[in-house]
Amino acid sequence: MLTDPDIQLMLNFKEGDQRAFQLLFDKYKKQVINFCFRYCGHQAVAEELAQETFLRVYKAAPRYRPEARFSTWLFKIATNVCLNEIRRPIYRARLDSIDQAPDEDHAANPELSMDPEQSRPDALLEAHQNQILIRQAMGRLPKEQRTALLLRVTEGFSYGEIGQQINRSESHVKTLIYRGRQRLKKLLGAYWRKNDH
Amino acid sequence: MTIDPCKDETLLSALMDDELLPEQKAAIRQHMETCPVCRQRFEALQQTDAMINGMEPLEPSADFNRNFWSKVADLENRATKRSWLRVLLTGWRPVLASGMAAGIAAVILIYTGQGKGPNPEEVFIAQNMDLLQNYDVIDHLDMLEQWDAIETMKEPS
Repeated sequence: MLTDPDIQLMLNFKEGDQRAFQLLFDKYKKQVINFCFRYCGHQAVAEELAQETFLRVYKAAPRYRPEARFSTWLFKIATNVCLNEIRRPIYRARLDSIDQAPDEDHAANPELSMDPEQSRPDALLEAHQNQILIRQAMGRLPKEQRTALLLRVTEGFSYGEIGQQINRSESHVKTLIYRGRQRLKKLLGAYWRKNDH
Repeated sequence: MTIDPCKDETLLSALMDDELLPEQKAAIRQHMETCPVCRQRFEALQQTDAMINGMEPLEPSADFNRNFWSKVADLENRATKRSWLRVLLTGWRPVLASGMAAGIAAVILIYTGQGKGPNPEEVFIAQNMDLLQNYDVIDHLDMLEQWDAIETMKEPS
């Protein structure tokens, strides 16, 4: 933990070095936006949530104490911000309206469009539909399972770190992740069968 | 402790996440070589992760940075205003404190009657201190009480 260079950057920011915060922001912004996007399924909302996450980091600087890796702390904040969002009544309505691809100015993975197979109109449509299906399925996972699964699968945190982030024991995290995978598989039944051929 | 993923499927998930001890990992892998059910479950879990990782990543929008730094600027402005207010309040604090202390003292004096001026009896005592210190007079206080009557008596000629 003490060898984490991001901790030193955060401590420098705490001492008034604005450039250190800028470096942390630039390093993590894309990762936090994508975490929020996978969590809530809406890109505009995801950007708002990512900004709120970094604002909380900014405000928390005077009280910052390095008790874990910087990224563990950052994603704990991002998780809390996302949890607040999904508690809002508007969230359910948004979830039901997930039927759009990312905006044009939010470039999707360019590698997908480079793939000749993916460039065919029917393949593009199918890929687009699959993306919607996965986002909807993710949105329908219970919040703790979704949190643990995303922190593990997309962010690569250990069970111990996830336990710190969501205030649960390691064994509870292990169960959450397993159940999340099982449930996601069930929710994606149609996609699953189609891709088995 | 036996390692049996047929009975505890969370072990397969934990194996994927590299959260098991080396001997546990070895035992599960050995088990999967002879158990097609567990092997299939393990592959299914791997496919689920592949789907999650297959979600298209977003690039931050063109105005993401500008919006964020504008929020930071707002935050700093609010903080500056708050600190000015704090300076004003803390600068006036001694004046406010002494004013309040004076007010409280005045209220206490009024309610305890200390501010009404001297008691007439006390004034009388102070003015006649010489008389009161004359023990002859004190010894004949009963005579003083009848002073009016005595004064009207005529001295024998």
